[in-house]
Amino acid sequence: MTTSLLVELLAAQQELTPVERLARRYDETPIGRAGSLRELIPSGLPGPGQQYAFAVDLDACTGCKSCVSACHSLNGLDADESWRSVGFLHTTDPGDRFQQTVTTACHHCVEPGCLAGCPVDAYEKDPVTGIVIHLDDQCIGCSYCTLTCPYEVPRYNHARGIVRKCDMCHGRLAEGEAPACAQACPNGAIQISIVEVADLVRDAAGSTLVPGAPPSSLTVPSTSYRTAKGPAAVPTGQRNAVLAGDAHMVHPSQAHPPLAIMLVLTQLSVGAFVADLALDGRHTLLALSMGLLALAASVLHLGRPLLAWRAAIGIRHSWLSREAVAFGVFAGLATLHFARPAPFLGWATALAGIAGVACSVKIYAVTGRRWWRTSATTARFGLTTAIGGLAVELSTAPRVSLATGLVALVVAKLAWELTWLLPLSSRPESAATARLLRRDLAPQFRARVGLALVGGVLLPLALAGSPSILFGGLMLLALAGGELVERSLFFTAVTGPRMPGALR
Amino acid sequence: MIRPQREGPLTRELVRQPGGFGLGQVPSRLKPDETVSMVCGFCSTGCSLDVHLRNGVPVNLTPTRGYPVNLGMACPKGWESLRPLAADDRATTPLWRDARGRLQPVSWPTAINVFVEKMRSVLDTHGPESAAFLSTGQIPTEEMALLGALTKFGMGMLHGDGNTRQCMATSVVAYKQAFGFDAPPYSYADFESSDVIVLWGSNLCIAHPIMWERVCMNPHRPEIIVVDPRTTETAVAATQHYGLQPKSDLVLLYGLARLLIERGAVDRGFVEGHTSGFDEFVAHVGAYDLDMVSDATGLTHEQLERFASTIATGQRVSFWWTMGVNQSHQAVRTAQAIINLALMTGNIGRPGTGANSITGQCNAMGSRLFSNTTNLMGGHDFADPIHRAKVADVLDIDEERIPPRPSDAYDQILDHILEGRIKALWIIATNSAHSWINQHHVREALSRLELLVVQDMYATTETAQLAHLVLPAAGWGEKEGTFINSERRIGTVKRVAKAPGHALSDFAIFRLIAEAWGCGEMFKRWSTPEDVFTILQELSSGQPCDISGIDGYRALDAQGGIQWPVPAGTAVIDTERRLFEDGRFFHPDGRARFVFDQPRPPLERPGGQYPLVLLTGRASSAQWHTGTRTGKSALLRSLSPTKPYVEISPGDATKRDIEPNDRVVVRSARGSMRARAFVTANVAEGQVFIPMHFEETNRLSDSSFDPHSRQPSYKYCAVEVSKPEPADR
Repeated sequence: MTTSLLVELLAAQQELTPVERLARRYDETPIGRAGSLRELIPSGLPGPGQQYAFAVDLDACTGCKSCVSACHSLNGLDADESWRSVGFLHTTDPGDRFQQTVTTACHHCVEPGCLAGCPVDAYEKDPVTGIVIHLDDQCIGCSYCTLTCPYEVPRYNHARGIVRKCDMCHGRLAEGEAPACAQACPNGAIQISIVEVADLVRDAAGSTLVPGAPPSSLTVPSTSYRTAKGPAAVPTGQRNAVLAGDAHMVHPSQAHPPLAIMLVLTQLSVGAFVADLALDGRHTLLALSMGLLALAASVLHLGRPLLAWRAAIGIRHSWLSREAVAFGVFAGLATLHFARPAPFLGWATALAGIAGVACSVKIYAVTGRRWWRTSATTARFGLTTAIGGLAVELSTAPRVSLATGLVALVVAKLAWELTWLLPLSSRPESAATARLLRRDLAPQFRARVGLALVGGVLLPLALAGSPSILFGGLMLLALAGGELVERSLFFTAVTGPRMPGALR
Repeated sequence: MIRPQREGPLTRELVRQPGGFGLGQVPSRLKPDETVSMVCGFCSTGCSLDVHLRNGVPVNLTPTRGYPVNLGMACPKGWESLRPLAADDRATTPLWRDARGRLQPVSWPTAINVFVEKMRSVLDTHGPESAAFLSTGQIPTEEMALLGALTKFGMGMLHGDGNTRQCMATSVVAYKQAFGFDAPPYSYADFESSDVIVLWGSNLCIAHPIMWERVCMNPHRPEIIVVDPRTTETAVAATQHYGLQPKSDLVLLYGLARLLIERGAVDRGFVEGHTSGFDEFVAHVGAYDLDMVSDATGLTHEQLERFASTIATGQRVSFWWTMGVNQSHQAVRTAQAIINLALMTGNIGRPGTGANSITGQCNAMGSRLFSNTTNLMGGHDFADPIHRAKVADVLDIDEERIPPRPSDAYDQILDHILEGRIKALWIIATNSAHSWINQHHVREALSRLELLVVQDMYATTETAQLAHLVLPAAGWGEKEGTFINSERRIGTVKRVAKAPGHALSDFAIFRLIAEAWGCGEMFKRWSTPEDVFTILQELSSGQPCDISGIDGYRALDAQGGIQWPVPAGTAVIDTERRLFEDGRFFHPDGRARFVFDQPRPPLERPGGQYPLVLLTGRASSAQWHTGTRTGKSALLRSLSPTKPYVEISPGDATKRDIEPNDRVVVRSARGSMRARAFVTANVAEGQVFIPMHFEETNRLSDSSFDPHSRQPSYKYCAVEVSKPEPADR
């Protein structure tokens, strides 16, 4: 073959179509306004007591997912990032064959869970528009908002160490342009409306946005979903036959290892301080070390650890800020107590620690997840604290009474944990958690039971009456390991109502 | 109080500003300095997309506002069109399978020499029927025309077909026999002007979301009728859904025809003036009474009456069909039965009417007219000596070089390979090892070839992995040419991105091969795609698809695409045009034909070991075919199911002790696949559904074809679903 043709063709392949071929007329009509059959956005700003809201016409949402793409492209997001998603509802009732795709984004809630939980005030709710905006440069990447938002809206961005979320394209709205998703919906299913906040608050009680979604009472979401047909229009209580597309596709949630370490070690540490006070023990160094290690782990958990100092900013509303402050005080007092032991310092340390553990409980309890509700989480964290205290004392003072107490606590906790596998409650989230623990997380659950039996039954009984530094140390390690696995399951096995998803 | 940090590098990343070019706000870091409009390279809707260029590099993309097809909208595939170009598994150099069986990079001269030497040796030794090509509806018309001319007129091959056999062959035959030419008569504007829209075997919302947009823009509150065994997104959005028994369509259509005749809904004037064969048709459908039709379709008398009465009372009824019709064992007659309904009720040639086949691929329509496979290029007939003489004259070639018969079809080419008659195969831009029906059979055939050449953007496709020689191709956006969409609209594609490495446009590869084969002289007029467009215009002259009146690519861009026909001298070219407004069809007598036949049962029926019917189709608008391109976009992957699943009815699941999300095995007489059970009432009892995009799906499907169109019947075979047995683990 002649190489001259090849050279010519390879060179031509690297040339673009000449620009003069590309000249064309541009449509300068406003985006998402004229030329469309529908007005996509209101003509004015919300008045007092009002806010902007997404209004979704479910009858026009047919699952093309263009909104997801447009959000991604028009906002310049990462390769797999979009602030909108589309799931669907369907039924298993052959007498009522039905499906409905559901587009969803941030609901710009009246009482935003993200904002309430944020320890650094990186969220703002615009006083005029009601749009909930995330301040990316203020965020320290603690991810707590990914737990306090029941709608899985803020997403952690690993490359940047912060979360990002939908801002309703507020800059576009300010210029009279529809948000990316709204302007890209071929069927005009997504619009921006002005809603009365009082109506939202009133309607939130006892309702959900769509079947299976989280209770609206948690955060009072502003999005409205309209439909003139199909079971989605049926009141919440009668929607049992309608299922989310991914209802049975329950996956383990994120494990957050530094958080598990932080929770377990703070609780063991606080337990040790309290037990020292109650039983006149001398384990300040061990307790302090565990506490400091816990704080180090909590800082490492942050996407932007250098900004950890900001964590106290949200103390007026964020349980995470309160926890940070309580444990900060705890660590400070504990260090003082270690340097210059004094009874009042011991008590103050213990109190600060107990306050910290209580804040830890609230951090999870306020997210609305049943698996993390106050009673269960208090029991869980409280027992870990008590077990830690007894175990630390037992490790150096192998008294039968201590060993008996410890074994009783560990066995009680284990027995309670075993009930998760066969839940008495018929709630779907309990069943889903049980399914996760029995299937996907079964190895971890077995490890948890094994470590608890070794560290909380076998070794304490072996220790009782015969002191051994080796056995004492092994017992503490095994127990801590068991609690760590349990705490990792606390994160991974959590389930709960969410917006309908799709098959993945 | 500490003031939060509102500014900074992270905030700046997401700042938006007016983009210019009529775009509204865009991300500041992606603000274009130029935009280019071109037609999308996925489906046949033919949306126009604006590629945003910044410093000569494509950085973003938005749907073109004001383009008469998509009116500023696109589906996720269109939005993500640029991502597959940047995939890291692009083929960047030719690859040749070495003695140890591994694909190794070779230079273009080596690759082309190997190609010519091996291909010529096969053809010289075994004759013109011993080598064949399989092409595609995914490349521009100019490229497929060059391929068709090169292989048949230059290299002397007889057989070549395209993956359009999988999607449109049925409509081609149906239209040719009924109208006298392969001529989808409609314009998308018809979606907006109907008062009754019948969607037959079409999940428009998912398969063609932008056509559904046009349905939604209809201001007449139309009745929307969906005929589909599944409760699809479109079925739910419709006003009437008829969930018939799979493949009972033909009986239903004949039954509807009888009901319409009984109701006096026949447009006698139109039938007498413009059609032939109606009386025989009336006699034929006489046997299809309500009881019989109800038995076969599973629809009640009331449903059948309501369906017929909706058509009868409609003023502007349009009938649309897609793969649910085309991919069937009696597809052509089913499509023609739809055409018959339109003809007998006079619902054709007027706004909002028509018997309208919705095409699949971006350039299936270009392939139908110019690929030189089944038809001689330009919608001509290989068997017609006058046509051969005309083509030879336009191309300035010896008439003897034009074979006097069309190519065999895709399935026949594969059969010839298994029989040892075809020894070399050249596959261009299609992924047969995944997409062809009964995968075991096709892979067996491909493995027996002496030479398998695969020309593709990616060396990683299932088919490329089987090749002896891989030729790296430039993709959509890296080359020029035209596509023809479902409504016969011709639009341009442009070169806005540089192809990676040494990848070349298919056009350039064909030119290299022509030169090396020694027939470069024959293609001296074929230097650029636009040169070829001029040749195609000449070829089309005098045909129903006459495009000789188009003033080059520039006119196509300026007009927002142009629908054929445009004979030379056309003064005003309207943006939206439909065929047959004068009632004249393309048969010599100007009349449309009523074509009909006795329904036949499918080749394989459920029962015994395999009691369930397997339906296949699209699962997500974000997936295209075998996913070789759409799978390269992280966003599109996030919008698609990634793990195989099977939709099964609650009743069938219970019978098999299958719980939602259980792992199951789906078996047919051909093969098996693992899947997750998705228990839903959206499939009827006795039926299961698996998306076509999973590689495993075609392990199950059955080699069954329509006898007239040779199109595979993908949507019907017998399977069983069960929990995995120990042997399956």
